Amino acid sequence: MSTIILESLLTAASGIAVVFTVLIVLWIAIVIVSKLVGSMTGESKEGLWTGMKKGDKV
Amino acid sequence: MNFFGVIGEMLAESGFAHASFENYIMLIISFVLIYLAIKKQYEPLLLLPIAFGILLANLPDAGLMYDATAAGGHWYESGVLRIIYSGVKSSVFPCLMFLCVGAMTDFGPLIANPISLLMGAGAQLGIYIAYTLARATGLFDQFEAASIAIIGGADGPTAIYLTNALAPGLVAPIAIAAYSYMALIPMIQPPIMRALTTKKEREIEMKQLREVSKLEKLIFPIFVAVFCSLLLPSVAPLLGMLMLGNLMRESGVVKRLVNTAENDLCNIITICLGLTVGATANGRDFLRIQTIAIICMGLFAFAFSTVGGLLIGKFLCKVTGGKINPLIGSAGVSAVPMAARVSQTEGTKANPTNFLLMHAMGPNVAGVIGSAVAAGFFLTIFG
Repeated sequence: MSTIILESLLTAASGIAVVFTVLIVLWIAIVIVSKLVGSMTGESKEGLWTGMKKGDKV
Repeated sequence: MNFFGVIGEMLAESGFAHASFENYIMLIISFVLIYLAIKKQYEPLLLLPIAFGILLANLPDAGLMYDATAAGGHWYESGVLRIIYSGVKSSVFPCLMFLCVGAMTDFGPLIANPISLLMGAGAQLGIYIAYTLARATGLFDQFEAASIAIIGGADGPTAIYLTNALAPGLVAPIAIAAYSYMALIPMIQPPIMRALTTKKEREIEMKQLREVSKLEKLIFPIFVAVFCSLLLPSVAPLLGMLMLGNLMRESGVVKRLVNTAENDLCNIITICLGLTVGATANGRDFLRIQTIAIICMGLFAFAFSTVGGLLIGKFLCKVTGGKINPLIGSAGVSAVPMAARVSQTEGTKANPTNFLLMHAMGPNVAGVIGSAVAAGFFLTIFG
């Protein structure tokens, strides 16, 4: 039983790692594309990370 | 033959004589679900066809789910619901449903605020906790445990797709549990959200999102389809269709197709999917200890996914100096757009001037991708 639990914990840990890795890569890709598109079209590059301008107050 | 003899013979041949105790229990369950769908309006678009499918499947001798191929016959000799069910069995319906979802989804809030992806990832936590728990109980093998765990993704088509591939015998209880919990989001999530956040956090107002250019919206579905399908090929049918639907929407050049996908096709698939998933809930197969365990673990997975999203939301709130309201983290469970609406409702309760809906849509659509990736992971290692 303990082997099964250990095995499933390892599977779970690698699953979480895969999900986070994929979504973090997508995050980076979105930021890069936003920067490229911003520089190509001359649009504002504000809020690339959080959608907010630097120094904005909540 | 006298009159009473004829009546007696007719009754002996009827479904009344052949119905089992389990059939009657399932009929009562279907009546309750029909009541909830019509009177309480709990996700009626899905619940009503599912409930009626349960009802039809538990009418003995009607043969609606009769499988002629199992007896060596032709497929067209099968019951009508069995023939429609081939769309579920072959994963055509879940994939087409993703096409429709893609055509209805605006990824703009996610592109404008890509940090939402972290909340979408965090909200998959329940999937893996439920997987470990299901294995630890000893009731399920790894294929069944993975199929049960995906309920935590709160994504019906993904749950059906994965279960079809790994544990086809569990499609009915898993689909019913997944859709039921999606319908019950407004009841399940708020207590967890209030327990894990302070009033001050819930009151946080978020700044309006930046405008996303059309080019970004066009590149996004293409990139996601290529990247995710190359990394996890097993999930390409789901994510490919999702992104095709979205590309059709954002391109603006196939409005007729988009109109069909988000209306007629979506409705047709909803009817077929709901009806046939319900029809797989035959009393003899459904009323087992396993089903109760699946329903309990599904709830557990769902609750922990909400917790995962909220915890990432709280973390990001701290990191950004209070610019992110952690309530939007719970929307990462992917039930679009209901989970985002719950974030909005809870935010408004804490601060009536709060408007979180668009912000919550970011983690919400990230959760759709996240749960598909989680399914792809299970398919890669167990498929």
